[in-house]
Parts: sequence; C-alpha cells; structure tokens
Amino acid sequence: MEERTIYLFKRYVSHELTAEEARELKDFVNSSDYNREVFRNFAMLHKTEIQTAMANHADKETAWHNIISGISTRKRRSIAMRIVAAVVIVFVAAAAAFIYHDRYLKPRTTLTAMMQTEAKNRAVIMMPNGSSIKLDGKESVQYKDNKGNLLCENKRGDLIYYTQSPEPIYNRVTVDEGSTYKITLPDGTHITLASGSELVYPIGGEKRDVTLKGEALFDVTQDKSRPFTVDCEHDVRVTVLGTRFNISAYNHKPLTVTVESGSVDVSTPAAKSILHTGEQATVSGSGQCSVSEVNAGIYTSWASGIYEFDNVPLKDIAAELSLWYGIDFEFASRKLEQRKFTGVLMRDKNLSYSLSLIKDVSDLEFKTDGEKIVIE
Amino acid sequence: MITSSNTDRDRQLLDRLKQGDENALKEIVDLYYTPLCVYSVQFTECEQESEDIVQDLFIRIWEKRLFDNITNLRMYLFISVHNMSVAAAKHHNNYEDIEELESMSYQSWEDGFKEDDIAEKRLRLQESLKKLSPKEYDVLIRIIINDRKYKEVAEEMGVSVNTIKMHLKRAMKKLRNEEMMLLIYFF
Repeated sequence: MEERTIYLFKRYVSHELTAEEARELKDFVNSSDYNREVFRNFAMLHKTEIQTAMANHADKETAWHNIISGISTRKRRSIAMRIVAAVVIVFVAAAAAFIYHDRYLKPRTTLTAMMQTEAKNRAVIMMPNGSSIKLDGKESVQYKDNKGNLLCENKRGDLIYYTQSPEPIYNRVTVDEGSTYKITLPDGTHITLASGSELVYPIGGEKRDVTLKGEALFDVTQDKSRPFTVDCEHDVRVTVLGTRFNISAYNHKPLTVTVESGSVDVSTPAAKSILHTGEQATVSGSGQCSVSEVNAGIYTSWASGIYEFDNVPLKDIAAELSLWYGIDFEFASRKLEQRKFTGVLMRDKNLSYSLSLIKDVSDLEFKTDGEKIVIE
Repeated sequence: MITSSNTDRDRQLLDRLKQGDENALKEIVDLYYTPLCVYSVQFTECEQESEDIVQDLFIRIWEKRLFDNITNLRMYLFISVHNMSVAAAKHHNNYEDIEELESMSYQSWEDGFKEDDIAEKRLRLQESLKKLSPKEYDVLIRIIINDRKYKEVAEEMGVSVNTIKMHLKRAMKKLRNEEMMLLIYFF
C-alpha cells in the first residue's frame, strides 16, 4: 500500500495525476482519519518547502526594477492596447448579445445566463412634465435647450447638469436594480446612487433639498449660504454644509448615515444629533439615533465599484450582491445567514466570479432555483 | 503575528500614494513583495508565475490609480493576489476532484508570510515531525517533494536503494502525528 501511496503523492506534487489516479488519491485520503492526517501533513510539508524556496529567491530589488520599467513600457504600449481593447469589446458585446438571445428563448433563466449577469449603469429620469428619459450608461447624450445651451450631459453612467434655471425645477431619477448612477448637480455636488434607489433633486432655484429612498453617497460642494438637506422616509432629515457622507435608507434595514469627512446634522421626529468624520448614526424605527465610530471607507467603497467587508454576515453580503446583480438569494438554513466573511468584491465582475470567490474560501454551494440562488 | 488590521503605517503609505508619491510605492513593494510572493506560491506552485502576478498587481495599482479606492491596503493586496493566484492555478490543476485536497494545505492570508515567519513555520513543522529521523526527513523531501529517483538519492547518500525505500516507508507512517494536528489549528 505504501508503494502506491508514495507513487500517488509524487504524482500529486508534480501535477501529473491522471483523472483516475486523482480519484484514487481522493478515496485514499477520505477512507480514514489516519490517511487524512498523513496527507494533510505531507501537503503542508510540500507547500512549506515551496514557500521556503520562494522566500529565499524573491528579490525585491529586481522586482522593483521590473515594476518601474513595466510602468513605463505600458505607457508606450497603451495605443496598441486600446486597439486590443476595442476588439475585446466587440467580442464581449457579441457574447452579451448571445446571452440575451439565449435568455429570450428560454422563459426560465438558466444558471449560465444568470451567472453572466453584470452590474450595469441604468436609470430613468422623470421630468416635471411627466415625460421620462431612459438612461443607459453606455451612451453619451447631450441635452440642450431651444437656444442651444447645454443643459445636461449623460456620460457613461454619470449625469452632469451644467446650467441652473432660476425656477425650482425638480427631477426624479430611479436607478434600475443591479445598476448604480452618478449625478452631478449644477452646484458641483456629486451623488452616487446605489441600485434600486430613487432621488428627487432640484436643478434650479435657491434651495438645495433632495429626497432619497435607498442608498447614496454624497459629496456636497460647500456653500454656507445654502445648506444642503436630504430628506428620507419617517421624517429623517440630514443637513450639511459641505462634506462627504453616505446614507443608507432601505426599507429592510435601519437607516444609517456615515460621514467620511466633514460633519452633518441628523434630525428625526424624536432626536437630533451631529455627526463628525468617521461617525455613523443608526436610526431606529422610533426615530432614536445611536452614534458609533466606524471605518467609513467600508460604507462608502461601494460607490467606487468595490465592496469591502470585514467579518460581515453572509446575509448582508448576499443583500449587497442582490442589489448589484438584481438577483435574490435564499438560505438553506438560518445558520448560514450568520456565517461571517472578510473580503473585497468588485462590481465590474460578473456574478459567477463574485460567487466563486466566496466558494473558494468556504464549503458553500450556490444553486439556482428558478430566478433565485439558493445558498447551501 | 501580522493581522488584518489596517495599520497606521499602511494608512500613511496609502495617503502618500494618493498624492502621487512614487517612494511610497517603493516602500510598499519592500514591505509586501516577499510576503505576497510566498503567499501566492502555495497556489501557483511556480515561483516565476507568482512573481509575475505580484509585480503585475503593483504596476496596475500605480497605473490605474487603484489606491484611490482602497481603504485597507494589506487586505486589498492579499485578496487581489489570492484571486489572481487561484485563477492562475486553475490552469494547471488538472482535476476538480483534488481541489478539496489542495485546500487542506492552504494558509490564510491573515497568517504571516515574511521570510522569518516562513523559516519559523518550517522549523516548527520539522520539529513537530521530530519522530522523523533526519535521514527519513531528507529522504521524504528528496524522493517525493523534489521528485528524485530512488537510485540517484541512494547514490548521493551513499546507501542502497532498499535502505532508501525503508526510510521512506517509515517516514510515511510517521507523517501522522497528534502534535501536528494542533499545529494546523493554532498556527
């Protein structure tokens, strides 16, 4: 038996196992705790030997040289890369069309199609006169008035207003599930809206008052004479002068206000409190405010397309992913909801990639059941 | 022991990167290059590949100003390297069957990966396998891990092929070690 084991271990180390031998090794390892320990110790030893050699060979100085020259050669290559990128985009578009077609033919979403889901930039603006404009992050459109003045421009998921009308005109923008959208108001204030969120905002007049449902990151331009206010449900109002902060006001979780820099004033029918840099207020259903210190970056990183989480229950991670990709998750058991993870997910990757990262570090399985994904 | 915490040093380095300070990049490379390579190589099992992955990551961070969006430098570096290394490893890990076996030997990015840590880990591993005589250990490494032939090793060590086989058999048996299990869980 040892001869055979030695042979299998050798082939394992040199990546030469045939499919059959791989199964044989797996059976050997799983057949007893004893065998499992033998293999585990052997594998640890093997990895440690490789890592020791790596530690001895890694040469920081050469690496630095390569990095610096890599940075300068890439600059030179960038035109060629652009052409390559253009070709890639054509292929991706073709693949996307194929997936769309595939979905269209089959009423039930297939796993493959679902896994290709990507986060997008899509939103709808409602004008005061009742007409609506569909925004697609891909196109770039300019809107002009009768005299040809540039009113606003839609640039790849970023809606920029230029001129300010004297009249207080309010627009309402609703972001699709699975999308985010940026809005730049005439005063230069940047707002990034999360998936499924809705914002009513003025593009004229004296007041800077917006109404939010859902989640948004605000980067407010300072103007002491005109305070900026955000109204949320349940009469919660956040007042600011000039600062960067995040408001999460979904129905399914308590409203939170997180300040990345500057200070804001949060008022509810029951309480009033002032938040400073790095502080977060959580508003309860009865309007009570509790303030705690947080790493604000974790609550604002989503706006840049990166979701960082440090020891966060899987339930919350799933909630975030459903917002990005517009897909529902279901847990096979309550216990799974509370499993904690630490990591970083990128919004520009597809669902399959994001799930595979979680799969790699856990024993979780993701299965599809109709339109939702079941976590087991 | 290194932890996942966002240290003041890392925060300062990030701030300097955001201001376009190339020296900060150099300091980060000095600090993290080896630990990242050592961490990566357990997945790729190829030194060149791991070094390429890590160098490439630093180039991208600088060129695409990825640091603008990072808040926890250490976490970002290790997780990026993890993802790229696992993706690279998929190319030469032939069968899904043994993926689970592979994962038995991986270390978390939250463990130390500095030269000193690795040397210490190796010592502790050897020590915990102290039931192995130096010869048995030597034979085990040379035959299985370095994938050498019995005959070659026998000649180098000045013993017969049968002696080598005997050492190897004993070493294999002793690879099961109660202390070793503790080491795995508490390392």
